[in-house]
Parts: sequence; C-alpha cells; structure tokens
Amino acid sequence: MSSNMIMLKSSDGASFEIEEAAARKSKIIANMIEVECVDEDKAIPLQNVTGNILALVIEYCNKHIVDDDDDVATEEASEEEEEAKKKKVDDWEAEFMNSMSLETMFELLLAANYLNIKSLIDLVCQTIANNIKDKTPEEVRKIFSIENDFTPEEEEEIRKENAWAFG
Amino acid sequence: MDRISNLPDEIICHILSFLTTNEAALTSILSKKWRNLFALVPNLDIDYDNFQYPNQGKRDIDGLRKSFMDSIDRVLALQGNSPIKKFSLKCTDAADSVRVDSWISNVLVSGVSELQLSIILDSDLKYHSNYIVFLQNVLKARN
Repeated sequence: MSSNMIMLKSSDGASFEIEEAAARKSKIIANMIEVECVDEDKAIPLQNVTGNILALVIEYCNKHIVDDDDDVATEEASEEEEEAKKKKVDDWEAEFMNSMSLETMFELLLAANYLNIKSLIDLVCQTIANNIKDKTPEEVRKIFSIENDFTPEEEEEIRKENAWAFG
Repeated sequence: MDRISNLPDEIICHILSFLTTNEAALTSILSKKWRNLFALVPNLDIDYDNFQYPNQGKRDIDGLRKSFMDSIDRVLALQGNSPIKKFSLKCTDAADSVRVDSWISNVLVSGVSELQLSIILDSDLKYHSNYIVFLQNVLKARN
C-alpha cells in the first residue's frame, strides 16, 4: 500500500494531512488523484466542508482504511474472527454516530455526499432512519423540528389515502 | 425550513430507503414537503404482515387480500416513472398470481436490479420454473 500523504483544506482554511489510501475513500478525491490534478505540495481545497466536519470525515476514512488493510492481512481468517472484526467496526461506527448531534449529522451527510463517500452516506442515512423508525409522526416532527403545515382536514385526507400504512 | 426537510430530495429518499415501505409512507403526513417523497424511494419493501387495515374485523379475508393488493397497485402507481432498484415482497396467500405478475413486470420496466420474493400462492397457481430462470437471468444481466 502506498503511504503517500496528501493535504486537504477546509472551507474555513484548516489544513489536514491524510494518507492517500484513506483519502481515496472519497470518489471525488480518488478521481482527482487519477487524473493527476493533485499537486504534491498543494492542499486540495474543499469549499463545501468546514474544518470540524472534515475532521470527522477524516476520522471515518482513517478508521476504515485500517480495516481494509486487515482484510488483506487476514485473508484466511476464521468466521469467528471475521465476525469479531465486523462487530468491532459496528461498535466503532455506533460510538462515532452517538458522539454527534443531529445538526452535526446533517452537515456530515452533506459533506459525505459532496465528497462521494458511499459507505459514510449509508451510515449517516441509516442512523437518521433509525430516528424515524418506530416513532409516531408527531414524535418525528419533534425530533427534527419539522413544522406541520397541513390543516387537520388535509391530514385526515392523507391518513385516508395511505390507510394501509396508518391503519 | 428545518434541517432534514432542507436536504436534497434524493438524500431524503436515501434515508427513507432504510425503512420499510410502510414506515416510509408514515412520513407523508409530516409536512407538505414530505407528502409524496416516500413514493420516490427506489427501494420497496412490502410485507403483508405490516399492512394496516382500517376497521379490521369488519372485513372478511377476501376484503383484506383485496385491500392489500390495491395498496401495492397504489404504491406502484405513485412511483410513476421513477426508477426502482429493489423490490421485496412478502406475502402468504395474500395475492393473486396475476397481480403479482403485473407488479413484477412493473418493477422490471422500472429497472429493478434486486428482487426478493417470498410468496405463497394458491396451490394451483404455481410459477413455472422457466419464468423464475428468466427473472434470474434478467437480474444477473443488470448486476
């Protein structure tokens, strides 16, 4: 594995050094590296990502690049080892997502979307979906501060339209 | 507008794709912005056991089956021309094979690449094994 380091620069001017292999988790950055528009001495400017969010993105990428290395090293790992490893990643991801507010989660999601990091997009979307699951619409509105702009009549109509979901 | 409603539609739909179709449909009542978003989710996950029936008890089993099948027609109609990636359908003796066929044709046209069917039909309405092989080949070509 190449241990080339590259520099990323956030919208608010913070610079981060990251292993190329970790940065390649982002399809956008991987493409930039492919077409050689990355100058070794210059940082890649990421205009849509602030420093505090970029730090989270880098933490995620670093964590998952280590896991990918493990895959190569332990090709013949037993099933239990595989499971234990998967559980370790799951636990880390749960802890990672637990540590942030909803507000941060949305910013992280937009950054992951901009940088095109599929596994991170899925992780954040799954976490947000878990906040919707098994909740009443009233509870979901409260969690996300969604303003109900329906009249009671309109609401009744939608409940009827989708009676198979509302009962 | 609040943060989640302000996300691009395709991201909201991606969030909803981690829910069953029933759970996603419940978001239609959150606000006007959400009213039809669940219909654009590219993953459909439908389970007869999750379907809700108004005035349950007043209907006979045929009424329940009809209501279930009509709901799936409605969900597919709401999808319109938007692409479908995954279609998962679980039902035991709850749907006519003709209707199941029309749903499968519908999602095939919509570009489905993952099909999960767990269906038990009336004993005299068995799928021909050639049809299953045909479906497997279509999906293999798409994946």
